[in-house]
Amino acid sequence: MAAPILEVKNLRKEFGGLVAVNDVSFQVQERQIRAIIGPNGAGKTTTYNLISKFHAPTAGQIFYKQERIDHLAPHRMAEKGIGRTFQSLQIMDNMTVLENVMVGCHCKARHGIISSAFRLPRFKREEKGILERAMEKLKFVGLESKASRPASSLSFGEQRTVEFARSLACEPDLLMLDEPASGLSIREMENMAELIYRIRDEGVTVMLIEHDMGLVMNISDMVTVLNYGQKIAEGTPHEVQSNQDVIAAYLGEELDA
Amino acid sequence: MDTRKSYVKHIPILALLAFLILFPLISTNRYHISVMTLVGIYTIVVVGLNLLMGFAGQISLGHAGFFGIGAYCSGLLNVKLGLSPWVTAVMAIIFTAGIAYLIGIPTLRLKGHYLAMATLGFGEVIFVVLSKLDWLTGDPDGLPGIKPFSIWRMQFNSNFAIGQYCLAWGVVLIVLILSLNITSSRVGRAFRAIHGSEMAASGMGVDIAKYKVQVFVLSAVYAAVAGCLYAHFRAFIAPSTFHLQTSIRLVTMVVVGGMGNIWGAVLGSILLTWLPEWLTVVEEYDIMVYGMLLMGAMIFMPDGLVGRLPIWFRRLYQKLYLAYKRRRPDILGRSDSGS
Repeated sequence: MAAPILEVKNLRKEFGGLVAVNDVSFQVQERQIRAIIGPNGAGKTTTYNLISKFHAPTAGQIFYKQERIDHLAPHRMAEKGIGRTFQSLQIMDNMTVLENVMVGCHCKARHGIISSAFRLPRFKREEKGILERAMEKLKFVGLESKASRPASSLSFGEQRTVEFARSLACEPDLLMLDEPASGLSIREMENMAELIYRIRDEGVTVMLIEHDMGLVMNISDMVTVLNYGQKIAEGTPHEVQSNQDVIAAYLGEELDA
Repeated sequence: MDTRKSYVKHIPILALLAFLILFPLISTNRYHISVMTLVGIYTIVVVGLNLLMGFAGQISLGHAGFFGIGAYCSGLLNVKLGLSPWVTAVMAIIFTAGIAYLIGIPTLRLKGHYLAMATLGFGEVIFVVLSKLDWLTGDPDGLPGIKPFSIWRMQFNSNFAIGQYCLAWGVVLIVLILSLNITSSRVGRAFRAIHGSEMAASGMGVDIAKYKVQVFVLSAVYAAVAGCLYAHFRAFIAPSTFHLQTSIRLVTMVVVGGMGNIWGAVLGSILLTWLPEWLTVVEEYDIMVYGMLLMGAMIFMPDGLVGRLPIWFRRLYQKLYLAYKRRRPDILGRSDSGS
């Protein structure tokens, strides 16, 4: 098997006395769609936040393309090629749709406050690139007609799509989606699934936390199941569906099994 | 469309320029000119504070401190060492930037009310230093004898009100252009992204700590520039000018003018500097009326003057248009019956 794009080894996170993530290890292969599922409070989002460095792990290691990344600052992840979206929508509602996506291009440019203030050549060159790239991503998700609208004026589903376009703007190799379909209508969910397929086909590895089992079973290549901070199962959607531990976690165990 | 857009973009700055040229021609009263000069000085600070508050979403209740450091640093170097005001101003700005950098790194880790308290404390410390450290800052009642800026034989002292006016607003225009450039760049978007969602900004690769310190230092530099102008225009500075009341006033200018829009800073400074002048008609009740106007402003225009003015203009236009339309069939009817 080829080297995994992401490898998590014995990851552990404690909040006070609570163990949110307990010794979780998994590998994500390139160009896969990997779903992470589990009941509420299973530690899925915490795992994401550990990978994107919003929390520091209590123990364990994270490797991205064979490089250890668990000591890096959170803002370095984007330039490494890890993009993400958020469970609670994190749209900048003080900005337009286009500007939101342009923020996503932040790690692809270098010009700072001096070259911006004096409009140095570097500023002009890079801003042009940022604008083009952002428009391209908006076209990709089909929102180019709403580019100049304030992001707050869009519907919830469209805002999720903006967030998706924004996370694509830094050209990630690994995209971590946190409940991309929550709150979406069936129609919007189908669109989202199609978008996920399309970026996978462009060579992006996708990680996905999702509660909608229909979507998960449909699109993912591999599924990891967490419960109470521990990995209880891993495999293809079909394998996971018939796993006794998984069924027990979701439906509850029989009293005297 | 593109050319039209860039043309529209320049309207506010051209309008301001026209106003600045017309003002001294219409109002030849020297006192009014000097009030406008003060407006310019405040605008410089308020533009910086607006970048910090309106764009990056941080707060500072201690900006009069940076204003004071700039003024005192330049004034003292000038009085005690006899250096040229141009040289002392540059030194004062660099010194203030250094202080802001050192203060910014620890305090900007705080958020909301805690950041407000920390910056309030900073402002208070600066006030105490300016008023009590008399071996350095001179008499606690003030520092007199600061030399004016001069170009060859031309002295920008208080007798040359129009010169001070031009110098101050020249600096304002530079500050405005630089700030507008910053806000429409990657850096400006990073500021606003921090305001919108720190988590998302960080996830997109924005180094939050770095940009917060940058915008804080930038706003302190603007305050120091204004402080230098103030010190060398007035020739006399006193610690009381740089007390908490001034900080609050600066924040009020940002909020009343409109947060998150550079032009709000200009409107806010104009209104709140002129307001006390207009309120002299109500004599001793001026503070009360001032306070009530501010309350009213917050309730009726939460997005500030810069957000409200276009709406008011549009409404006025619609009303006039409707009134015109209502009268027109009337006129037509009468002419019909007449013929």
